[in-house]
Amino acid sequence: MSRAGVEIRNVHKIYGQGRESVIALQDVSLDVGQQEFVCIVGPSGCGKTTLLNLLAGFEPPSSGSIHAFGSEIVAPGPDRTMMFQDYALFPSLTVKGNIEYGLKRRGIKRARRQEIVRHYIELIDLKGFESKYPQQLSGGMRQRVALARALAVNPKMLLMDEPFAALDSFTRERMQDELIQVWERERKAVLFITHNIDEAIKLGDRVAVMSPRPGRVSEIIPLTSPRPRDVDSEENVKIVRHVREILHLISTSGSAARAV
Amino acid sequence: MKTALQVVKRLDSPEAKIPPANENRPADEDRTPQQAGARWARARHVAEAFARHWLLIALVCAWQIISVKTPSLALQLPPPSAIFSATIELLHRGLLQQDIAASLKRVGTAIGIASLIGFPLGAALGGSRRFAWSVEPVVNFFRPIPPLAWIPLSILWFGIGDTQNQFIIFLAAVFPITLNTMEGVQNVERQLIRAARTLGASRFVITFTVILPTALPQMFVGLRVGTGIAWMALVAGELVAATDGLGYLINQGRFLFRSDYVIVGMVMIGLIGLLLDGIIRLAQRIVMPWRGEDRL
Repeated sequence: MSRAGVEIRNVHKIYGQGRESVIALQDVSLDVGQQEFVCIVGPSGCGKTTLLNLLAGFEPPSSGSIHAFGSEIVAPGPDRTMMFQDYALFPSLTVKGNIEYGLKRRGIKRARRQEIVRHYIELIDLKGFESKYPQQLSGGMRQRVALARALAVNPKMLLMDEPFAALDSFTRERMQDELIQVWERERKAVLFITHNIDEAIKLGDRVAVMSPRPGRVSEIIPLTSPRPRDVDSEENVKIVRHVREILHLISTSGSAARAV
Repeated sequence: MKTALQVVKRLDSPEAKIPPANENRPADEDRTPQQAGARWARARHVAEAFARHWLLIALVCAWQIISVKTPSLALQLPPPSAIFSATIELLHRGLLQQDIAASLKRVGTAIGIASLIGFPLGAALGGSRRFAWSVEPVVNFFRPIPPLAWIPLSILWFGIGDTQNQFIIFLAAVFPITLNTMEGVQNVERQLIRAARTLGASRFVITFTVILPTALPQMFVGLRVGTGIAWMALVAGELVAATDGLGYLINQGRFLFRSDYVIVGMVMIGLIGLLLDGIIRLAQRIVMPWRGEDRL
């Protein structure tokens, strides 16, 4: 197996049967390097969440193959952890309990767990909140806990399903910056799903643009400028424009413009 | 509803961690109330709880006056003072304690058994579609039959006594417990289970670390509703077939033309029902610290 972290090859995903079947993914191929940050951007219905679910191992592809770090994905596992849009923190556990949930499942000793939890509490800047419950935290704090929980088991890959979509724009920008800082310190393969083009351009090494009906990867755009990126720079504005064209968000040939 | 009893209870132990009213708000919002302010608020809380009962107190006073001024009412509606002395009398003779203990024992046993069956059954119904497919129709068939309709049959089966009464109470409690547990388990967000799976938890571990704790609030609702209905069924069961208990006390009062005994029984049933509910709510707060104040 090559050095690639994740290899998605000619994946199809079809739901239902016969006339009522829906093609969620059509012939999707995509690689994510071991330390690469790939963003997937696309409107709802383009199959981006389906792709993420396949990668997590929640469901199998209808055809094609997905390999992660040398082996085929058959089930969820702690080498690929996930962050959800609605945080999905365990309501009955404290911040600390949430972060060490995966560590406990791995049978890691208490002292070592404490150490790891302390490290991530500091990393996400939530010192003093260890014994709070998710319900007592703001949206931004909850998502930081979710990030720490996903990182604590030291996964090779982070799957992020529109993790910042539920946050207000100020918090979202701060979280984007924090995510990049954390990622630069602890490099992992990241697949980050968003419907926000600016966000994709700010974060990714590459941006995969997906289109709906049927869900497919239309184009993969490499981003070369160094982070932190200015979304308003000339180069990036051009890329945004290009992405919007791919998604037909801008009427180029007189056809009606469509909103997401 | 917050009872005065609970408020007083809270005030009794100021060092116990009494969450300020806004403990559960997102931490981003500033929490300004200082210690002194909190104490003031609490005192006002108690005062308010007492003030709320002015109408109840007024009604009791009116009842006293009317009953005393109309001697013809002596049997139909003895005054509160007569009921108070009847209570003292029954306590003195040890009968009231005996009846309360008998009723509590019945309801405790029955709810214990209903919990032992209802919680696992509900969890299985909520967790396994295949299990629910064949078992839910059975539950749905028996559920609409009022527990009291079982009284004649249960007397034939168990005779008159504790077992028969416990059976009726059990039937009253088991359905709310089962169905609420089922609903609670069904309502656990799929994302939570998925998150646990990506973190390496097995299905067995997920059941006990994610599903049941997340469903716990709804399970408590079942327990509270079940206990409430059980308490009512208990009295009905004892009215028909028992040799002690609060329902029996009421029935005896009827035979003896002692309406004061009847009302003593009624008041005790109300107070103990309230107390049981309060105990469950207290347990709820201890078992589920993440829920804060629950107002269901």
